[in-house]
Amino acid sequence: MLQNALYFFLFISTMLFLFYKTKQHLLVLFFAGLLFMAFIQWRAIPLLLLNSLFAFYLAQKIADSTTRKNTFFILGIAALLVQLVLFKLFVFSEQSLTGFSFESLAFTLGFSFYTLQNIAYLFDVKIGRILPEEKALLYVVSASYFPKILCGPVVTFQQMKKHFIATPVFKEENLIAGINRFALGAFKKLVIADRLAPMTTAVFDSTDTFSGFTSLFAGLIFTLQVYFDFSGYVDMALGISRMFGITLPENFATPLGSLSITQFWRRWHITLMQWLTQYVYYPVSYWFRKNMFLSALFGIVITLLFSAFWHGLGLTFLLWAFCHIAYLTIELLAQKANFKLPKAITYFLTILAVSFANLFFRSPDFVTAKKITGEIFSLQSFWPSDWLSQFVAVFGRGAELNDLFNFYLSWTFALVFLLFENRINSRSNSEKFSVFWLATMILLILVFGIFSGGEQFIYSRF
Amino acid sequence: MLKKTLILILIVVVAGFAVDRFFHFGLLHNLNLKATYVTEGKIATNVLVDGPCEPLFTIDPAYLQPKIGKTVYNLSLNHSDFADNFLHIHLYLKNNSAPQYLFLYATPESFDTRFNTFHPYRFAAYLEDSIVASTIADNDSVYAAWMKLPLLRYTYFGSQLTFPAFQGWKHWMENKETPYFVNGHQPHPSARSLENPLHFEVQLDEYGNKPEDASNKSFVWDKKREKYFRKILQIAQSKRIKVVVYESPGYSGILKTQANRKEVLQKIKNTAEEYQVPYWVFDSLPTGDKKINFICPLIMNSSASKEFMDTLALRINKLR
Repeated sequence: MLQNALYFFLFISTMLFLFYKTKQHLLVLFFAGLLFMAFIQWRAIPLLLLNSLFAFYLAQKIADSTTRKNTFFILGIAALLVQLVLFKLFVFSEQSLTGFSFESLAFTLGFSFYTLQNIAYLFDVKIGRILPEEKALLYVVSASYFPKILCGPVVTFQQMKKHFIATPVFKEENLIAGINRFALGAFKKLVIADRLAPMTTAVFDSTDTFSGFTSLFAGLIFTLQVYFDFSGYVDMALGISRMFGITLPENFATPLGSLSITQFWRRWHITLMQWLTQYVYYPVSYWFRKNMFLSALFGIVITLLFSAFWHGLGLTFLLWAFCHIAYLTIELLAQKANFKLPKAITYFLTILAVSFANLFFRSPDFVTAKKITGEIFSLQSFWPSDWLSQFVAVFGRGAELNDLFNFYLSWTFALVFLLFENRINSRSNSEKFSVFWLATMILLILVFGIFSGGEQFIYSRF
Repeated sequence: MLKKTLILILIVVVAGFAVDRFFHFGLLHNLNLKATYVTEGKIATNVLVDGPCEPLFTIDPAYLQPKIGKTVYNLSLNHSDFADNFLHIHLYLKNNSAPQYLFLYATPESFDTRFNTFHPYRFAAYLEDSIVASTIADNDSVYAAWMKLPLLRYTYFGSQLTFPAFQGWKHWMENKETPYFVNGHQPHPSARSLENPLHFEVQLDEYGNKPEDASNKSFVWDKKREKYFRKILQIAQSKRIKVVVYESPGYSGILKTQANRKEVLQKIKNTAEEYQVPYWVFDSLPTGDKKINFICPLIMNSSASKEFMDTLALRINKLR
């Protein structure tokens, strides 16, 4: 872990130097992408290159052809979707047979993310929103741009192109803002997310049965974990990118402070939701445009089902999507009936609903999900009969003082962060060099970070 | 920017050293850590017991001492392998007078890397000791690469060391002289003492399977485990300590399904005999036949532990 971090800093410094010092900045980014992939998994490189080049050439065919535009378009989208299905099937079968392992996903690293970019590119060229790119290198670099390759954010070619065609000019404020943002991401990942990870593992990867409250609480902890893990990655990606003078779109806007599920989806994984809205929701809604309610409802259903499929083929993802479909439908009906609840209650209900749905999202299989959620609806076994052994000891991974200390420490970090999230975020976006901010972040990471046996980024498996 | 960067580096380095000292001092004064307690040099025991959680939970010196008329200290630690045991014994012998006897727990599981492990963080405050450093390097190369760096040598295992460091400061301020578990025995977390018996049934076997479909997987003999097993015997004999290698009763319902258990037991016996060390196996005790006597296949509950210690005491008394 630490060794990797050292290599990584060396890699970034070298790439930054070359990026600003040479005239071939696109080539630098191209090789940076390849090197980055090779460092994590070199076997992922061929699929990335083949896919990007496939989308690149097909887009030209779509634009050039007068009679077979639709054929090329359908062929391209179908090929990409079939690949996505095959990839998800492969992951699903690997998981079912041998359990999840990152090694098994070696050649498909970042696949779900760059496939979305390729689909969007073909779609935009087809409807004439953009012209096809003429330089293959530019397109491939946009797909293989290393800060976003593992877990996004999801971007379109257009969003990336404007940065790549401009001549890079080194600006001190970009470097500082990038470092500030990167430090926050590392803090979120190493200090909070990886501290919470063993708590979720204790419930979801266990064969034991837990009380309903303990299970529901595990859903809440996973919600926090996935947020800090994923947003931590995105902060780091945005931070690194900013050092190169490239601004990637934001992916989160304090989602855990949402007062409704609708609001939650506007603030959570924003770039994926924007992609889904643009390329799934709008086309579906358009079909049912004669009835506003049906149009919204079908739009939601298909979009969330696509989102579930994008995450994986397991039944658990489908159930997760159904939960959100139900929540959004209820909200739609409540909105229609002009029904309102006090803010405190809607906040509590939103967090509860998201956490409950996440029980399915995190469960490794349907049997586990059934076991975990089953206890929640059992009147007899909802509350733990002994709080220390059946609740605190479960999440503390033991009932010894050290375990309890870790349990409370993790919670303190997570809650204090959420309480001051807006202030912390604005500090991390600052272009000013603050010794206090950086010293605090570095020391917190060095003292409280999890360095031994840290977790992989959750979204790098999708 | 350069000035600020230098100030930042200075702050991080100074604060890093300060926190490093905080950890170091705290860990060196935390008497609940066995490595620390043994280096205090306050244990003068006749019998030293070492091994993983099985002896930790089942051998209570307070119960055994009166029966054998000798002082006993339990040096065992949860999930520890032979390298872990070796370093604890090394630190013990470096700072205390040698005991008369060493009882070392060893089963086929002890030689298989799927069971127990080495915990480098237990020795983070003693990295200056060359034997500690070389054993860590031999067992955890990743940590070994970073253990020379101030602060990181402690915070690399922050989850395990932050609380003990704070606790150590508390012990120092309170001028504490004995650890929480005075004689080293730690009752199973669910049972407070032998007087508060624990009755459980085996839920899963050592491989994580249900007892009724207990696995027939074979044990895999690990050379490194063997190396540290031999090192323990050597270091003990160099101090003229009489060593007894032993295995406490296990739940026979599961043990009999393990394909090469007998062969591995024989191999342990042969290895011990190379040093003229006896290997005591208690598989004929009726304790092993009843599932209710066990928490897991190799750990007896408190009432069965008492029965076992009675038998062990008789055998120890015959040693004289």
